[in-house]
Amino acid sequence: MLINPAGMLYRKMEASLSDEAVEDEKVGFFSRGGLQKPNIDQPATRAQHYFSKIRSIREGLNNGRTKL
Amino acid sequence: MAEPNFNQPIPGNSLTTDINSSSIKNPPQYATIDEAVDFYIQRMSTDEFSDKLIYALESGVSVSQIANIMQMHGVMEGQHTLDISILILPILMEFIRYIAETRGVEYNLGIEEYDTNRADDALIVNAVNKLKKENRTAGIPEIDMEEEIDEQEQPPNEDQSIRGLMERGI
Repeated sequence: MLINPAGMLYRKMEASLSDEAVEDEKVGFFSRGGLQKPNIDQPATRAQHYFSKIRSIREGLNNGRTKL
Repeated sequence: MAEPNFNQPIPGNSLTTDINSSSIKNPPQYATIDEAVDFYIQRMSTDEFSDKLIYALESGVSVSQIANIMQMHGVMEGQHTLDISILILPILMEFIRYIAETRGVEYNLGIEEYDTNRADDALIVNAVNKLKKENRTAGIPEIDMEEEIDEQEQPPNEDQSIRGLMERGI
């Protein structure tokens, strides 16, 4: 088995958006920094913001909430 | 006297390009995540891109492979840094998923670890297409794969299954 870097990053990004991710240190630079307030100017936080935005649009489309 | 070898670089060849002309010696075009995301989303929102993307996804190329190629190209062209490319990779993958789902195309996300014992889906599709093309040019009729599988799945004849290997048929 070889490591798939793109897959690893994608899974970490997904994990960082879950509710359990607040205290989980496994998500690395996508973590929310424990109980501290995330710094919105940090590149990783910006990336998280865009990822969650696109994901919510995609999921909304699948659930029929968003119309094209 | 030894013959001169002309398959060599001309002396001073490395000095013929302008200083700092290569992309890696210059600052990136898009320095922040916001700028890079803006650049990619604009480019990916066109119909031309979507059509090509759908074709690639239907051929069996995974979402992660496409996103990887895109970010790598961006780094080589000096559009953004490697750090930015790592951060925007999941965003690109998510947007590709979004495009595929709006067009109703089935896709392979490609986030599982690479299985070294298994051939890549895109390679298999390419090989099958190549074989079909060769068969067509040679005039060999196409085989219906479903029929072939049905024939293989039929249970063996009972008389034959009872008989031993060296036993002669009656």
